[in-house]
Amino acid sequence: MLIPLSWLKEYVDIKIPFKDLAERLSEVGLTVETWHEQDGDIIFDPEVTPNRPDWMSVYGIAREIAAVTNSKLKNQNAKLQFKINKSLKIDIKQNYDLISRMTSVIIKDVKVKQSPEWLQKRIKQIGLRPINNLVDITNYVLWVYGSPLHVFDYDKIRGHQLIVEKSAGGEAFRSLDGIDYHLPNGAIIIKDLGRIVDLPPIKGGQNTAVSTETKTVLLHSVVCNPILSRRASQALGVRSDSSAVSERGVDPNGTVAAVDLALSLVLELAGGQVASEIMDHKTQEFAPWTVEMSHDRLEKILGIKISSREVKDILTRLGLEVAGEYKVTVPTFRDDLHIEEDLIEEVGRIHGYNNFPKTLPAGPVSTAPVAYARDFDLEFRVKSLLKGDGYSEIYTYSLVGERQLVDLGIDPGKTLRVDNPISRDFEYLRPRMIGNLLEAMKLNQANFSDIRLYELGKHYTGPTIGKAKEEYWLSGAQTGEKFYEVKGIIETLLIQFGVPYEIKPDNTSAQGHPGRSAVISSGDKLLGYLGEMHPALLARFGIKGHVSGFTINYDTFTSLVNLNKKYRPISKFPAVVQDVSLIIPEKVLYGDVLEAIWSTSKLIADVQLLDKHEQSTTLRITFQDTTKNLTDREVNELRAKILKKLAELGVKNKD
Amino acid sequence: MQDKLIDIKNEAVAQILAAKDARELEDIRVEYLGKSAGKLTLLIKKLPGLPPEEKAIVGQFANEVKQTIEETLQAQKKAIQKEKEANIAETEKIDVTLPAVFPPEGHLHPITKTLKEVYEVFKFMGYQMITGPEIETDEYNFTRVNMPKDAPSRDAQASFYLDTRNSKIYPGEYLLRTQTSNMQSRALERIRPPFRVFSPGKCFRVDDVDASHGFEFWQFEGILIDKNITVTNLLGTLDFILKSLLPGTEVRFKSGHFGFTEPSIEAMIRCTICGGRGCPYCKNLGWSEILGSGMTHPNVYKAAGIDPRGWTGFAFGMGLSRLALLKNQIDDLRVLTNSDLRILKQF
Ligand SMILES: [Zn+2]
Repeated sequence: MLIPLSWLKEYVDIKIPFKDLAERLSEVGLTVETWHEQDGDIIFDPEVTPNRPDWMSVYGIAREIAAVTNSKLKNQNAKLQFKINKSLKIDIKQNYDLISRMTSVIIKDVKVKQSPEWLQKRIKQIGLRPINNLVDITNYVLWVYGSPLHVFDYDKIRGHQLIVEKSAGGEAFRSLDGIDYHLPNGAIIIKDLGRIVDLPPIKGGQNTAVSTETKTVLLHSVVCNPILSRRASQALGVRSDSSAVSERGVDPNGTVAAVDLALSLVLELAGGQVASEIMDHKTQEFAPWTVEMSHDRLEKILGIKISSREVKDILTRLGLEVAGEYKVTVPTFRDDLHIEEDLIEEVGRIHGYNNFPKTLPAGPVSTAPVAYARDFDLEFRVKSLLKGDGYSEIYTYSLVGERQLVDLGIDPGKTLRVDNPISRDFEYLRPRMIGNLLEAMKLNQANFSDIRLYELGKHYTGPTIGKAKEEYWLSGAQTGEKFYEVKGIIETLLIQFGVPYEIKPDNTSAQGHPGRSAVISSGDKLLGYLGEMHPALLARFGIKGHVSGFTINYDTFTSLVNLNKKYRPISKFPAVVQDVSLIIPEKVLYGDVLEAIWSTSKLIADVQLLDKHEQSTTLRITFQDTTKNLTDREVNELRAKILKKLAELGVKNKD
Repeated sequence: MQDKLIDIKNEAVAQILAAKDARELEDIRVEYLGKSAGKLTLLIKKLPGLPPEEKAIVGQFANEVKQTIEETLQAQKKAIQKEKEANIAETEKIDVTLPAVFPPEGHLHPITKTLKEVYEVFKFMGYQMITGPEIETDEYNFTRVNMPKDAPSRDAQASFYLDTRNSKIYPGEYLLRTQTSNMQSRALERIRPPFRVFSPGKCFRVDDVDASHGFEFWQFEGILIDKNITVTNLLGTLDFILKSLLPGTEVRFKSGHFGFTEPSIEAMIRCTICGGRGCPYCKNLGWSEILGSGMTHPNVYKAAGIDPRGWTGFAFGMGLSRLALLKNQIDDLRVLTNSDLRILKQF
């Protein structure tokens, strides 16, 4: 909301330059960052926090300025003396749950016309369009006091009755600016005999609007239930100046001053006579309340020494009444002050946080494991390893589109989804990262031939929200037929972090190449998959050529990490190295051959693949006894044992 | 016999001294000292046929000849090596300005690099890192941090609500967390005070996408609960963290408003664009808001079943994405979710 500086000056002396004032107000929480000069005046747009509806008014800001600059708040508008002619009646049926206070007055013989120059100028300064003197007055008073006002054409109110009700939903309502609304359930409405005439605090109705023919008006100020105001505003998607302040809570004692000021302006600018008493329908007396604050606790929380004289001075300047140390009486316009901590904040912010010393907490530092703990050192080491493998890290959106799911062969009907996506491209929570990864591969293929990307992020799975699960996965991809390179990267990762693993062929994945994919497991736990991507999948993502990749369940991985190292001395006895050439039948996997060899003896220290042709495979086997020298005879026996085991698999020795 | 030995010696020494490289020297060695057909070897093989008195003298002389040849070979070998080394500047010269052969080099994402710095600062101050769910209940995300339903403070955090079809969950009950403050609710519930934890993570808000807004972004939250914690402790902590993360910055504080804290305080840093002189980015103020914080509100303790009179503490939250932008002079939030290697390779 726009505030002209000259208007503020009607209520408080401002002697410091505006820039200093803006800085000081910002420091105490009323952020003033945008302003412009206009005809020698400064118009600024403060950011009012939701706890301070009193700052949504010229008078409220003036009161804060008076407190922070220690200057005097000028007298409120002098009370007008007028004669009351109780000739006209209105029958008001209040509902105090909806409108806790309604202050009304009827004025007859008014002349509706253009506002005078000074009023039009104010209305334009605050970004509104002057309409006529009566409507302009309601906006003017709203700005001064932050109390919403509405003016009806009294003669158009059927039956001269106003009934406060809740909407049932579906009612039609035409606002005074000619817009048709279908009301939601639970909005505050005011009816006359059979029609909705007002939708407070959002908008008034066209059927009772003031026009140039209007002779008699009903003016009222209402205090609406903030929650209902907010819900109705949200449901309708409309926020007016009145509803904005009502949602935050207007001062229940502000209506009388607002009606007084409005009435005096009407009599001055539109003439007429007061035709009713000032009717004040309220659920109760809105009395101030007291909050106690102890000086000890104040200093204990703020961490500073402060004199009780300063404390009292600060609170008094803010318009609070202080007795003793401290019994604080809070006026109704400060509904944000109800507990001791609220008052401590008032003292702290006005004293000025930039005047506080800075200290560090002296308490104990715990190293005990905590719930939700996460090992970032491990994460950083894993990422550094992949960096060394030439992989670049990406961060992609968790929300993905239906199209991607379909391309991955995932059923959108069994994927977590948000009800209010910003667009169809970001509607589902990704159950896999591979889709984003492939899109990233495609993005880069025009500029790079060797692309290596990965992400450590969440998979969101579960067919329904009731079974939703979040798991961290580590997924990467690189261009080319690079099965063995990827396998090397993953094995290095698993070995470096002490995770025992097995890699076996896998043809079950819809995303993997059926002949070039493997499943990685550790005991009975699934660790993930690696291999080449299915060519059909790559085609659906518009990727040319081959892509190889991996995906590791990072949560399972971290649960298996073992970084404990136990030193083993180098054997004093020499190792014996022997090469064997084998003919391995096509259906026997190299992994089975390896397993057969390893299982033969504990004296086998290493097995390396030296050479692999179509016909022959040469292995280099290292024998090592750490307790003694191995004799030729022992080695030959071991070799014979190995060959015998291999023969059972159908593997022949070529020599 | 002795004359022959002298001839061989002279001939061999002359050849050796004329030799130009190691292979030539090896040929000469074989010619004279070869095991089967060396000229000297053959002569020595004849020694046993000589009369005894002559054999001793000739034998000794033959050994001297052999030794001379061997020593000369060694000396020449060294000389050749030395000469060769003296010339490698020319003979083995390469163009050192030709392009390098690079090892494969990947890149860490700026968010990871920034988080690493954040992590180190927190670790130094004794904070443990925690992470938690992104699919969160309204209760943990809002209610428990004193942002009840219908609180206007929720307006700034429009939420994505989870589709509840085929479940027994009410619509509106689950959302994508809008702030890492859900971990305040969870830490207070599950971790016994005193504790110091911080929690980075992804947050979601219904928002239009532009250079400074996104519907997914990263935050981190610091939480400290102990006895006798003061506002000055909070200010000192924030000052230390901000100056560690943004070396050379200045820090100012202002009053703020957050549901979960009372008092609430915002920290500002010197504008990184203009250095404080004033520019459009900082609206000519020279300062920009960077962090929200405050003393934990009694209602937050109560929601977690903790006696607010027994403990004091503070919490603060800051944009990790925003920090990554500041630290890398990135002017558009969308860069952080762009997987173009031409971008990634810059970090
Ligand atoms: Zn600037």
